[in-house]
Amino acid sequence: MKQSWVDELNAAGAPKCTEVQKGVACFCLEPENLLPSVRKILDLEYYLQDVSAADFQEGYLLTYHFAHFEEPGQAVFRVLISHEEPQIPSISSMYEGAIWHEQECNDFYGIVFTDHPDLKPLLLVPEENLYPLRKDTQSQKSFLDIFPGCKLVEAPPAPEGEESSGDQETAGEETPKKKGTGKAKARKGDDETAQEPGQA
Amino acid sequence: MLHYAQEQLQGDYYTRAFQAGAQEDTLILNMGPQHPSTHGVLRIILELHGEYILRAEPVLGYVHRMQEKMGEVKTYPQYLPNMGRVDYLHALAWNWAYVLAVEELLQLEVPERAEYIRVITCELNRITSHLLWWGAYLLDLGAFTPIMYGFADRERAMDLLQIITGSRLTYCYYSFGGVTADLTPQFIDGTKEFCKYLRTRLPMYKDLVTDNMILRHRVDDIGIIPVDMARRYGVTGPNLRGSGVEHDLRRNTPYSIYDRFDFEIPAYEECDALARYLVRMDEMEESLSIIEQAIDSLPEGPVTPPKMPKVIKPPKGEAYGAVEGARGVIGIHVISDGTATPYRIKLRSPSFSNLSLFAEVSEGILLADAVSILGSLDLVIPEIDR
Repeated sequence: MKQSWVDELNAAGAPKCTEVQKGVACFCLEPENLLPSVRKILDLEYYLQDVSAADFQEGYLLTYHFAHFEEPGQAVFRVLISHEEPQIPSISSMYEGAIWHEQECNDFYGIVFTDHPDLKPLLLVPEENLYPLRKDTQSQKSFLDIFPGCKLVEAPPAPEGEESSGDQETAGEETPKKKGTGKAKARKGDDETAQEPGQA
Repeated sequence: MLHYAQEQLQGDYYTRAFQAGAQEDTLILNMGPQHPSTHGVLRIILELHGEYILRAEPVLGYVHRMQEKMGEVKTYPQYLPNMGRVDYLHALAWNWAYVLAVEELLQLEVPERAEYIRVITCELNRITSHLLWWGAYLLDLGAFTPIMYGFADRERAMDLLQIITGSRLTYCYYSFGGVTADLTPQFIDGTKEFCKYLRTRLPMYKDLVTDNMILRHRVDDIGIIPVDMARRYGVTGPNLRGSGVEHDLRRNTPYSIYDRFDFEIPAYEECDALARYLVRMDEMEESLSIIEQAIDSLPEGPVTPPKMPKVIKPPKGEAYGAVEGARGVIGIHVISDGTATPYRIKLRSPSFSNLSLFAEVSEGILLADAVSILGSLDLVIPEIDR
């Protein structure tokens, strides 16, 4: 991905979380920044490869893969949403191809995509809510443990603003890590208490 | 007289939902799940006004096997045979996407000879896939002879692949860091002969079918997919190159050793079914050229890495293995938590994205043209449903 494009996405509220390697740039987004960032990536003429979810201790991680017809590499958007309120805006108004991908995520995890035109079961039987890819609390792993470069959803917006305005990559990289791990511990406690009534 | 319960008359969940939005004096028709032109068990609910389609909705999931859940309960090597069963026509490309992702996680170096073998076998598999598509597509359009020619020629390539892989359709031939068996002289000689043979057959296909006026009327100007629509739906592969975009992962993001070969990316500007047809016909020739170059420069050496860990336990992290399959970009996203079992495996299948535009592209067209469009998209249903 071109550096100028990375800067444009940063300005649209998508802070970069990993270095651009082999043309792959990864961005960690707040849910409210998803739609502006997707609008930006559509303007940059990227096409949608897939939308997928994964179940972690901190919540559901949604991963959006985009690639370009001429440029090599990928742009990856990551959004973390909580287990208690698995809701995220649908990007299908811009990328119609996401309609089925989002229905599939709803089938597998029960994630609700708001403003989706028709969020009905796609691959699984319509009569039951199976959510086969949800993990129980024992087998859930920590998202930050596997992706140490990424921040959490609840990170305060103030440092993020500094990060996107100051283009110092090293400084930008270090602060979210520290903030992220601190947040992870706090969130873990929240999760345990919140999930017990759900399981009973 | 037959008596039906009220529920049976109303149809299943999808029919009921579809009927709710129907206009007056239209016909709701189920095409599939057992329709010859849907190549498997794809079902499309159509709202027809006379012979024209007002609305179409594909219904998926009839061969859904939850491949992604299987990935989370098996170890890394145990999941390898699944890859041959996602897309039974270009199984080696799925093999490749998976081993590519795991090799990236493990930081494994693939020996040079193994890379060449992968290129040769994957391209040979691409030709078999295109030959079957060619025959089946023309069968959909009412021509019976081509599928006989296509199958006979495909059979020769499959016999060759059987020598080294041991199977005919659902290959599980690539392993982490290499391939499971070396090429035999019989395979190499046979492949050289096959390339020569197919080069004499392709001009015959052109004379027999491609220049045929009846075919042209069925495919010319049918199923227009503009580049913008392709982008919004994530269309890739020959379907995209039929819209004039020279996007091919073998060229754009050269994985393995594809940058060493001299080959063209066929693309046609017309965006219709004929353009997609011509792209695939040209691609077979390019694949032949890649195979010949690879066989000529095939180096000696091992086909597996010298040191392989006994238990495959990739470090924590993620990898995205993307290769160019016969139908488009195959992507496998593997998230590893450091154990012997993947934490999450996401399969990005090209047919899934390619079919998703059908509802938009089929609005207002003739029912007979819908068959032509479906065939020109080259769908493999098990790959869509996974």
